[in-house]
Amino acid sequence: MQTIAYPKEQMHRFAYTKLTEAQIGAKLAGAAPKSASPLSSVFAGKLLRIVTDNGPTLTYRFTNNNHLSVAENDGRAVEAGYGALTIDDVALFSHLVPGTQRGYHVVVDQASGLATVFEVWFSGFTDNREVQREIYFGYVAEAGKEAPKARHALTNRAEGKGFHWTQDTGVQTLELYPSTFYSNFVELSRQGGELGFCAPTDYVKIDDELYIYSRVECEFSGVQTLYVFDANRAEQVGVRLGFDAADALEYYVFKGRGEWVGQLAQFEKFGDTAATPMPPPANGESLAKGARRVYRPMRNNWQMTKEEVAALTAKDVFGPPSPMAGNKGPVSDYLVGKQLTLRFDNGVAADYRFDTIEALQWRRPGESAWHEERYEAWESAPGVVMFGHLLTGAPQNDCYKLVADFDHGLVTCIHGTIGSRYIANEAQAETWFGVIEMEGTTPPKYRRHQFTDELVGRAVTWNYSPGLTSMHLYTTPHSLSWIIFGESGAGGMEWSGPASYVKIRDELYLAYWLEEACNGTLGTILVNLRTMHDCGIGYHCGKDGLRLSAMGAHARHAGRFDIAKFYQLKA
Amino acid sequence: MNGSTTRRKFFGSAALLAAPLAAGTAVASEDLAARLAALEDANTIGALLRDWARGVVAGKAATPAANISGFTLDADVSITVAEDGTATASVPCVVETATPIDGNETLVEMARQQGDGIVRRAERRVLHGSFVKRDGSWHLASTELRA
Repeated sequence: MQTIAYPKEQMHRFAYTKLTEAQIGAKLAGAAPKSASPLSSVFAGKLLRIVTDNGPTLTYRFTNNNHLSVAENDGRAVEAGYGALTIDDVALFSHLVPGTQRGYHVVVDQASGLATVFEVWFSGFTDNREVQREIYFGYVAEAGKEAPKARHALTNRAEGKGFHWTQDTGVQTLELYPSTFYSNFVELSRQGGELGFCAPTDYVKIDDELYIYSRVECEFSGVQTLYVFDANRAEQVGVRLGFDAADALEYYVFKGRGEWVGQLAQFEKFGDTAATPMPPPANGESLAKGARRVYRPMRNNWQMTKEEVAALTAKDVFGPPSPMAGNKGPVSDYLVGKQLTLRFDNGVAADYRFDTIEALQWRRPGESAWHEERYEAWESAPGVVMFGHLLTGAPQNDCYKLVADFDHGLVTCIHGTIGSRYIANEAQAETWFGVIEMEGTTPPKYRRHQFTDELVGRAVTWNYSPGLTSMHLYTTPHSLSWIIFGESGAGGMEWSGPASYVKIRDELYLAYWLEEACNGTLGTILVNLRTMHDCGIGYHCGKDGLRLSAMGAHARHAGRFDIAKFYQLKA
Repeated sequence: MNGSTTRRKFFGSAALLAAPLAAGTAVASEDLAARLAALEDANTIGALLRDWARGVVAGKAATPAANISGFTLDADVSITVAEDGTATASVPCVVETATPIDGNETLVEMARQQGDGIVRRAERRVLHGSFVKRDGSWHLASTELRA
């Protein structure tokens, strides 16, 4: 009996219902947060007046531990269900405003008197189900007491942290914060933990131990997960609001316990503890309410039809260097003059003749004619050569990206093709293991390169060219996330895709990632953690043609999350 | 005025302004009015060059190079005034550029979307300006950035 709840479709493939405003209104009617843990009575019977700097003043009367009335800006009070939970002196409560698609998540630090208010609402974006939010900082007003000057604030102090969380609902996640306005989450129990995903995220500092984390799963379900966490004790109280894959309302408060899984490096200047709030528009106007930086790759109009792909004739094979190749290593002549056969365990084989540093010929077994292709090769480590080429005329614009270890007679091929069952110009990949047959060598019978989880949890920065630096976070054995650094060195926008890792030698790994539902690229790199340099090949099909291009970047270690253990198969 | 040359050279406007007007026999023989006029020329030309540099950064003047985001002139401006009503000036400077990264790769597009994707550089160059005097006033005729 299967015990792991793998989804029929992963989040980036799932067609979430485009809920109408009316449907959402109906689902929200009378809703109040549920809780697996007993609700807190911290506010029961009390009055609370919360004043925010640039937002509403909220006057609460808490009837008991699940019922309140709220008046916005001293308007008419309305009654609503609510739920509150506490973590030490900090209380979080959440409620909707009846008759609207709005609500509030409020965090009150009873010790300092400071409060942070998240106003949330639905039907505020093209995708109605996506929770919108605006953050207001303020305080609890007390008669005869001067308003405090301090405020909670957006921060980069949570950047680099990561936790394994187990909610009181039984839900287990890995949540990693490699950015100042995005985060990664791996749904271990809800979805089997195969892939990690990214979502725009707010980080608010309460004090040096307590932070507010709030992500909205934009471009997926649109669900919001917000919690206060204690970085020392790895405890959380939070709220989840939104609609699940079956369009059912998820609205509950939760407690959770976690495990601190590591801390990545930060790359801001020493002393820089600022957040990286969204900059105002260049035209001088104010930011719109709820504005945030969200990567929405499926709205960039890059997708093509099968007919458009079939009609493509333009090809760019190792053409002019792109910004992704600014730090690529020298092209190698290691293969020039060699003749060999690459034989893979799946039965595929190819004979090769390398005529020059950029021209090769290949043929399948039994073919008499040779196919000529342009290639590039790089010798990443002594005797280990990465090279790639198209298979001109192949049915799916196929390419081979190969890593050949001549010292050991081993080869691994990433076979790229164009076209998935979802998108006609999206690359797909298979990994083939095999051997090198050539005069003077005897390949191994059993030894092969192998898939590995040795990179899982690691973060490595990649500087491709001036002004273009990203960080890879190897989130699961089957996915990879990339984080774009801002000018300050703060981690910024993120996205992720399915990935695979093969160990070539110690500290030498072959990795690929698929930019599925993103822009369709298959990126493949040979990561050398001794030279801290990679070589690689991008493979992309777009409206400007088919492209096979070199990549190359300088690396820095950014740390490691101890998370590989969460992906082990358990009996 | 020294009649052996048709050009007057000035190095460093600050030093020029501080120079004594009658410090010795040779200076004393100078025509004081001409000397004052030369000082005024140098100050005007230097100011024109600095105003122009500020205008470049503010987007109010045509840029001598692409993607200039900052333009800091050194203090010392070398000015040569000719008898024909023209002048040239040169000044070492730091030119800051902010050049958008080309390309449509995913990382480049994401960097652009978050407001980055720009290569910033600062280089030392020499700004040369040509000036012409019309109706008693100096005007900037052309500029050029040289290595």
